[in-house]
Amino acid sequence: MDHDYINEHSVVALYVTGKLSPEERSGFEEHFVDCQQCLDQIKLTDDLRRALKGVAKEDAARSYNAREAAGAPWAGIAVWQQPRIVAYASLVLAFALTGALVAGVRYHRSELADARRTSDDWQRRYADERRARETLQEQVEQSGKTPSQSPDQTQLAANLPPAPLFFLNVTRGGEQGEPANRIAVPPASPWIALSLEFEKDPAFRSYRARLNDAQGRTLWSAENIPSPPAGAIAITLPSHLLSKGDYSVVVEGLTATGRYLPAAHFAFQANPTK
Amino acid sequence: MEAAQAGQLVARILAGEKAAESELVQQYSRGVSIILIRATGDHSLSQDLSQETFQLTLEKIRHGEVREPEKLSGFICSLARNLATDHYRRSRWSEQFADPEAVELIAETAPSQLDRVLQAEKSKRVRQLLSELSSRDREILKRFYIEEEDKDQICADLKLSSLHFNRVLHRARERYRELYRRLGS
Repeated sequence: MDHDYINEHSVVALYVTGKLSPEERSGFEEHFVDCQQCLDQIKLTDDLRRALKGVAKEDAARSYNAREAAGAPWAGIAVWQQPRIVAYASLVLAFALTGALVAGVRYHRSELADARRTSDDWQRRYADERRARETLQEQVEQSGKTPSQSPDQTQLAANLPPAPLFFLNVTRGGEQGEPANRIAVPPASPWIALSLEFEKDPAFRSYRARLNDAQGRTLWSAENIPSPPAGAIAITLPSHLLSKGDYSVVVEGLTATGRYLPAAHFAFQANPTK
Repeated sequence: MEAAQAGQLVARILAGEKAAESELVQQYSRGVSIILIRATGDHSLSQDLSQETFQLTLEKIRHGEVREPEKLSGFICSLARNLATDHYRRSRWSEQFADPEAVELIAETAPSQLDRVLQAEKSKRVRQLLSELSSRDREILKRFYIEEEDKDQICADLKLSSLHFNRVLHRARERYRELYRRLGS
């Protein structure tokens, strides 16, 4: 492996995020073990990745506190999401003004009733997301790993904003028809959390999980998920991945020899709510 | 290190030159440390295994057991990875957590005041970096480094070439390096 290949294939970034194949990882390690240039790049890239995750965590905490204090869903939104929120807010405002001109008094009465329902709905969602966040934090603490030690799902879960939590049951091999697990994806939440409970194998050092669509395409994956002493594995997904349809989460365990073996399978149906 | 240089280093160690042994450790310690941290996820354990790696490497060189000196890098990497694998094979996960005190030993100590100040400065530099990027470049960094999505998926969704993706990561990293140097100075 030479520097041209390393630069062309983003090998440093893929190594730092744990996305190289075992063969590529071995090859890259044999190259960089005494290459100061690559060692510097690895350190810098890892620092940048950790700093980005730190900023995301700060923004998530700020957003949660701001929403709680102000009761406004758009307060304290992270730098990532501001342009989108402004666009959505502009669209909502445009529709509201147009409706008010056309419908008159009757429209304003209807708008008031909608606002009251929306306010009640937001309060329910805040309570749900706070409960989900507390559950995720408990699971992170039980896993025994800290965010700064390893680039893994534990770190990702600790850095994410509050998300609705869904508990999935294992899908047995012979099950046919529609999946038994169903989740309603709220549109306002950028993340959802899935709690995957299954019988752990003590021979597995860690786990990886993949989200597949109905055609078997992998939409999302995560590696280095630590195995908690008891309980379920929790994963957090961007909710934009889940449109209406059938999905599955495949969990595989990493053996001491470096092989992945199937551990559990969860089929579910996603229904985005309005 | 070139293959010929590695061969010479091994020859000097075989001849009993202590300075050559120190040179070997200095040359490879940083890389071995990274490999072991990736393999174990544990800084303390990786330090122990790193010492063991160099101890065994020097023993094998002195006994003439390194048959291909020009492939010294590969030899050291394999040795480090095997030691990490052997460690997990010997110590079971459940035994590791049977004693509540063992969890405390593994857990990292709380950040010091200095750590918090440095972290705050790093956050400030990253926010400055993010403010300088286009919304698309920010999205690429977010999806790759925070959401840990696959590079191919990101490129397909945003209609990017692999080369463009590499450039975004490279520019962000180099700009971060520049901001980090200002922090250091």
